[in-house]
Amino acid sequence: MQIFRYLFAAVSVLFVAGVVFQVFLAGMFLFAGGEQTTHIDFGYTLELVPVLALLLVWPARAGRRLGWMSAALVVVVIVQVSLPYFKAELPIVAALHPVNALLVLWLSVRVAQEAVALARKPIVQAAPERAPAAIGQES
Amino acid sequence: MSSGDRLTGYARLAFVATARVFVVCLVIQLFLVGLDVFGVIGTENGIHREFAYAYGWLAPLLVLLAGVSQAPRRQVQLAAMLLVLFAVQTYLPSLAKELPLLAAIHSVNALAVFWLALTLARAPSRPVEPSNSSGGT
Repeated sequence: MQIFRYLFAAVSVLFVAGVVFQVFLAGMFLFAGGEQTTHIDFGYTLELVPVLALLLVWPARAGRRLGWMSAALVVVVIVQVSLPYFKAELPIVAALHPVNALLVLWLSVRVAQEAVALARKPIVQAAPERAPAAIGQES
Repeated sequence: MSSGDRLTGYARLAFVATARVFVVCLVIQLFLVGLDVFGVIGTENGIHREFAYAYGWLAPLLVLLAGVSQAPRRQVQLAAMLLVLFAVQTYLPSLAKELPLLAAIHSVNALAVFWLALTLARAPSRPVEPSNSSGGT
């Protein structure tokens, strides 16, 4: 089970790094003549990472709180990817894309912090019930 | 409560309030980027840039208030770092022609500025006990 906690932490940290790189790609597009498609394509790939993290919540026994946070991250990322589609009809909604990026960053860092803390904590195994005879021998 | 303590208390409140206003300004700033990139307003207006200059003075004010409010050393350091990063932030776009890769860091640096401001905004609004003043938060 501990391996799933390590995986969960690794995937969560990887996502934070991916978000930072994605923002750098946006900067490349705006300031360095980079291709917009690089930012877009990387965004679609990056979108899958929090889904993987969410799938790892259960085998990692991450708990309800971290589970909800991971689910919220998936939702916020889906919103993030969807926002640019409003450019034609509702550009003011599409303009929330960089604002929502802050939310993605904040939530992903929180998930990563807690996932790393969880990975450092060993899983406590439930102690097996002792037979009455064994208890009697001790006394 | 002495007048010195009262001043420290007010300065502390002002520090946290300023940090929170700064975070709100950063969010508005990012929205202005969105309005620009998605074609709601044109880049020729320069609203994004002008707005940064409008609230940029809050960054040095945060350093000042951190000192007056006798904030923990770590918060003073974070406020100073915020000031430096914000100054760098305003300078980076001017490198777009000579060093475009460095100019592209403008967006990543914005995340660092936001994170630092958010960390300061979440600080307790009450003055910190003297025993904690030399350590971290």
